[in-house]
Amino acid sequence: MAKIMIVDDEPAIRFLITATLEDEGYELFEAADGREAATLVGDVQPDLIILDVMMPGLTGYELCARLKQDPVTQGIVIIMLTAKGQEQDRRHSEQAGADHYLRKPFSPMELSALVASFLPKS
Amino acid sequence: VKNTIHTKVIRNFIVSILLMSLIIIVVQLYANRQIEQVQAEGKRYQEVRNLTQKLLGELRIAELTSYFLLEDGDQKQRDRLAQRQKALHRYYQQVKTLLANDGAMRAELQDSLEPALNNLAGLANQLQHNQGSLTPEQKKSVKDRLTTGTWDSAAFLDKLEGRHARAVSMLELVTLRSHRVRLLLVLALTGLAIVFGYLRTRSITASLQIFVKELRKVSAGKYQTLEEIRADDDIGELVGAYNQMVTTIQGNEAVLQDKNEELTAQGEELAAQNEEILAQQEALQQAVAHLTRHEELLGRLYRFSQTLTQTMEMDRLAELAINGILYETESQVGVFMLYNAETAELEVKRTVGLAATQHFGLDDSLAGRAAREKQPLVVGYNEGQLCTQGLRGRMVMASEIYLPLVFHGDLLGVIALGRICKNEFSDDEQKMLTSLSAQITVAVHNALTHLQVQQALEQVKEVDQLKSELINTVSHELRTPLSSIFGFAELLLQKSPEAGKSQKYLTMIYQEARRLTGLINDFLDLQRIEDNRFELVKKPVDLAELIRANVEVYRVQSAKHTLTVSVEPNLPPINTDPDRVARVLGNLLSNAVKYSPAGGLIEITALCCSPQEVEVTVKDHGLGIPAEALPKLFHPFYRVDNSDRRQIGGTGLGLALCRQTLRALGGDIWVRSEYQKGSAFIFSLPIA
Repeated sequence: MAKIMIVDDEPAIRFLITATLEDEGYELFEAADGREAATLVGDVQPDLIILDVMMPGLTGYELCARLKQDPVTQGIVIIMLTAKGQEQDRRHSEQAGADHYLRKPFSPMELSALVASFLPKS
Repeated sequence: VKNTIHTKVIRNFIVSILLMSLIIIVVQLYANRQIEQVQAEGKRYQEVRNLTQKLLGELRIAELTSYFLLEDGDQKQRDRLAQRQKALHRYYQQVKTLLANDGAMRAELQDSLEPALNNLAGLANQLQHNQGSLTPEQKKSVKDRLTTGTWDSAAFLDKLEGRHARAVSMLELVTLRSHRVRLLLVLALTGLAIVFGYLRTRSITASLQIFVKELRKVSAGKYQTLEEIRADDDIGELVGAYNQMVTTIQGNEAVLQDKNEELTAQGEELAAQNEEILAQQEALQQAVAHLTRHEELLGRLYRFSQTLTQTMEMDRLAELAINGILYETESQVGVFMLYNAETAELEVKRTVGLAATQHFGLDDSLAGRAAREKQPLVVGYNEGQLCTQGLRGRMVMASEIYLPLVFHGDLLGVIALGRICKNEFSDDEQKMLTSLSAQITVAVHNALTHLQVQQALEQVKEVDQLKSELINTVSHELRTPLSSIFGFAELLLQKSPEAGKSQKYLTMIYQEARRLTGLINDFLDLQRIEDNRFELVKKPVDLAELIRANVEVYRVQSAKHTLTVSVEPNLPPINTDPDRVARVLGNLLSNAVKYSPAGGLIEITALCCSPQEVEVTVKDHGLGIPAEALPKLFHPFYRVDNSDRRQIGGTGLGLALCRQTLRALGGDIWVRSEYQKGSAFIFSLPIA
């Protein structure tokens, strides 16, 4: 069963993503900010991370870049969730090494399809 | 012939020669005559002697004849005797004639010869007549008488010889005397001639000497006509000519005098002109010197201004200015002070050669005095009066100058300069310093303006950045609830979840929509306040009631927290907008609850701090605020950036809105907080 980690400082968004993916056959984990996520990654060893950009402390981009530089974690698929809605989001995401990004507000169905495209169903 | 000196001298000479010749001739003649007289006398004596000798001879012959006759009287003898007698008589008569002029001799002649002759004549006569008739006695007497006569005539001859000899010696004497007399006469006359010549010559040359004397005067510069010299010779003519010349010269001199006066006048005029030219020249030189100084000053000013334009940064400018001005004025100690209008103090920005760095008030220092009066202040110290602890040890100041930097009447600062050596700041240096300080003033003003502009620019940038951040934040803050609303709605529509889930999703949609609305309201309120479109409805409000009502809402919401309210008993009603105050209070209470997640005491107090104001404090014991975050706490969308706080929802608009609201109501808000120990927000409101 594929493991997905949801990282967002907004509880409402975490709840939304969980509600979207909970019946799709994934094991879901939540983290409220970047630091928490960084420590959780080693324990959980997720296959995919849905990562919010705007977080206090360690931002989504920083965490993404760190994970992608680490040989152990660089295989994890990372989907960025950006809220700024600007052109630079895409560039920053690419620079950080993210596999994909979604702009808030996003469609839960789209996210579900995107995740499914990265993770083969067991 | 003209009476010239030449002719006069010749005439003189000739007269002298003639006179001398005449005298010599006369003397010669006189002497000759005397000699001749003596010679004639001698000759006469000679003849008398010769005659007398012949007479004597004859007499002897006669005697002899007589003797013979006496013895033998012969006729022949008698004739002879007669003849002799006649010859004797003739001779006698001749001698007598010769001695006619000599009475004495004639008398002697007569005495000596006449008896003899008479005797002889008597004898002869007797003999003639009485021949042989004479007795012997007669004969003897005749013989005796003859002998006596011979003796007498011999004696006379002797006498005559003596006379002759005497005459010869007399002649010699006379000749000798006449020679001497002639010599003396010649000498005397020569002397006389010399004296005469000298006197004459003197009389001739006297006028010349006077003339020469006069000429000497002329050569000494004092000439005048010579009235006293009245000579008939060429000197007279000379004097005449001279006088004429003098007259001419005097005339010329008068003309010359006039000319001279004219020339003097012209000379004076020229001198005046010259003086004027000299004055002009001096003025020109001064002007040139002035220009040179000016040029040098300009050069310095240029150099200095170039130095000053190197920077717009105040500290660097202070350094450049003070070093530059010290270099230009050869001062050793300098202080650059900037005026701080808020503290009314002169703040020392930079010192050279001085350790002191305290600030000066406007009243308590020379720098302050210069700043107050806005005039340069020059202070000359007596040696040793002012000592200062400099970088190079203890220094004795000789003089100081304080230059206020005044820009359009505003005091910007003061520059103080000091000299260790004795010379004071001269007028020129003060002028230069005034120019230099004017440049510094401009530079300082520029730097201040630059600083202000920079600050303004930074503020603008900050505002810009804030605005950009605001947009980002607003975008983010709006997108987050929108994402929830959008997402849950989609889940409801697409997945048709079971009733429990649907209820949850719908609640989320409702909450997030409310959040979105509140966010938009806050934002719009803030915008309205900023745009002065904030409507206030003021009325008398019982603050205690308002506080209690609001606190009650939060007390119900959070069971973890304990909310206490203490209100000053006699709090007067205040005139304000109750809805706005309620929102402010609600915001603060919400924060207090949110940022003390562990729960605890929240104290609300209200009291009258002055007759005009009330103060309301909301104090929690929660997370507290880091010191560095305090200044920006009331800025819109500012949120203290740490994860503890980020967990807690919020727009970042609450406190900004509180402050704007309170300020609009005439009050204010501030905060006292300690990180990790809690915060106290205090707001004030005017009573009336």
